[in-house]
Amino acid sequence: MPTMMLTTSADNIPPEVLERIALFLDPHSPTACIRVCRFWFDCFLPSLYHIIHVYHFDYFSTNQDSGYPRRSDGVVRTAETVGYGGQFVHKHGQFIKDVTVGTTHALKYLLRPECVNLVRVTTVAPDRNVKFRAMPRRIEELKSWQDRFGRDYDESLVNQVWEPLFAQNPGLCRVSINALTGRGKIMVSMCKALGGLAQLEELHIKYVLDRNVMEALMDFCPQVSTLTVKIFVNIFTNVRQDFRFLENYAQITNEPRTQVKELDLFSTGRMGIQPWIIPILWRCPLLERLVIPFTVGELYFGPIMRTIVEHCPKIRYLDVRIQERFTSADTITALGDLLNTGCPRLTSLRLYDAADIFLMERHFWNPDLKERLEEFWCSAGSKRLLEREGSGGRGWVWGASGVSEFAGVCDAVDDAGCGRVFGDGVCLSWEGGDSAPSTAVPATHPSRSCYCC
Amino acid sequence: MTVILVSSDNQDFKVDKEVAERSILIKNMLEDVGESDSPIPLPNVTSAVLTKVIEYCEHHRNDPVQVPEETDDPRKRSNDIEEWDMKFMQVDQEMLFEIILAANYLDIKPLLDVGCKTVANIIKGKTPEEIRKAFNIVNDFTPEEEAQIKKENEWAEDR
Repeated sequence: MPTMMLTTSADNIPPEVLERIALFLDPHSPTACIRVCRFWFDCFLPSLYHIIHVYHFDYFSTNQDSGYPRRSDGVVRTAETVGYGGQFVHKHGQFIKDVTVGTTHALKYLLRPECVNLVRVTTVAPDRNVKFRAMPRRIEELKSWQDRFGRDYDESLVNQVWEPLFAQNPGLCRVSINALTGRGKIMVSMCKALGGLAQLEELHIKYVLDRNVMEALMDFCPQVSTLTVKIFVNIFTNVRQDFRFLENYAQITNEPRTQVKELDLFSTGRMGIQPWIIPILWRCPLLERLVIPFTVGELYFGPIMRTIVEHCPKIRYLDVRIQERFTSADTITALGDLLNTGCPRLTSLRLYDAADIFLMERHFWNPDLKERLEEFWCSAGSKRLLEREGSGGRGWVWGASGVSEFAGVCDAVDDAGCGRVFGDGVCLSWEGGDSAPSTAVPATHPSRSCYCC
Repeated sequence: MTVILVSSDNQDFKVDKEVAERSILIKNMLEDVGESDSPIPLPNVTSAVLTKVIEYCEHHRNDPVQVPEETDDPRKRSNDIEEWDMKFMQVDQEMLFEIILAANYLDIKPLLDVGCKTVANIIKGKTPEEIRKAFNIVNDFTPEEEAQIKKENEWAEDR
């Protein structure tokens, strides 16, 4: 027989225990839990509203009866009444901490006096990979929706939405913005709006379309410590000065420094030579983690490495992607400097090359570089991780015991030095620390045993 | 070194200090009083529950101390209960909640989490009526209120 333990009041079970139980529930269960009784309603409501992921609150409203949207643009056009999604978003708005929406306009629904506890706000353009709870499916549906509520690159959105949103949510410190529809001017005023906010810690901008935006981010938001900029290669432009040579950059040394600790310049494809990365690095003296976009040509590899050595002494994690071989004398010297002298705190180095130059049987291998890479590994015990990946699906992994070859690809590695290699029927995995590399089994090992899967 | 714990029904339990210190409450108490042989009274825990709790702490005496992880998503998985813990939690519901409450009171985070995961697994996939039945909870909503709650909050569910 069940007992009366979980009944109706806090006498039997403290609310914090029920709130802890809520942490372990799947996303569907809280909706059932809040209907159990009044006490449960109070305990489970926060977890239901903690993370909200909606394309547009109004779109939800017009379709609340069927649960799922009816996927017709007629519904959108005739939606004059505001229904449950939009009407009630504020009702328990104090519990919303993390919200993801499809358009900036949807954020207007959060400009209510109750929504003051936001920590993270994300705007994502609808695409095949982004799943919203309610989202127009067909393109004409989406268009009629946009016509009704305006498009995302309306400049007034900055002062109508973002500024008041920040003003009423003092804890809002993580922002991800989809900049695909916000070109030049709007993004720059966006950066200005963000710039006055001491609270902002993380800023992730997707699909930056021109370099001005990057420099505006640096100029106006020096307080941000994590900056992720996803570059849309196909239409990325250097608007201001189409091409500046290194010599010209060398003259710009007085731009203000930033607090950026993590800089992720992720690109959706391979980019041409990117000299503008160098002055950006100058401005990040506290940089600890750096991802450089896939660069074609190694002309700027050496200068970028030297800039890191000189200006970013705190670098811990470095992810470099390069199209060409690491073969020129300049590249090898620069990489050597980085490994041996420049950055004492470097613990993780990730190298990509599309030409499989590390594979001896196919390409030239520079013995000096190999030696330095091994030295890098050994110099700080097994706490360091070095990884490379080529296009051919074969990889080298350096371990404390030396260099082993694996017919596999490192599929994941983090800056704590945890990695995993999948080889020919052999799965290798290790974690940072002393025990790690010794447990790795080379692909050629006769036992073909694996302890992790 | 051993410590004596006294349950609410005045039974003495002699346990290794290392085992007793899985409880942060007891650990802090021992640190406060320093070297002392005096028994520690636990007025909120019965001997039956304390026996179970000590059994858990004995089995997990060598576990590393949990570091609270800071993640953006506070939601955690509930399907990663160890086999031993799963067996350990195969008790009747009254005992299950007694263990959870004791773990909460004694501040034994891993045990509290295993208990909460077990309860979460019972709740999963159930309708409100089934949950009430499972835990013998009285519905203090009127049908209108319940319908209103459903209507107002359904949209927030992560589909």
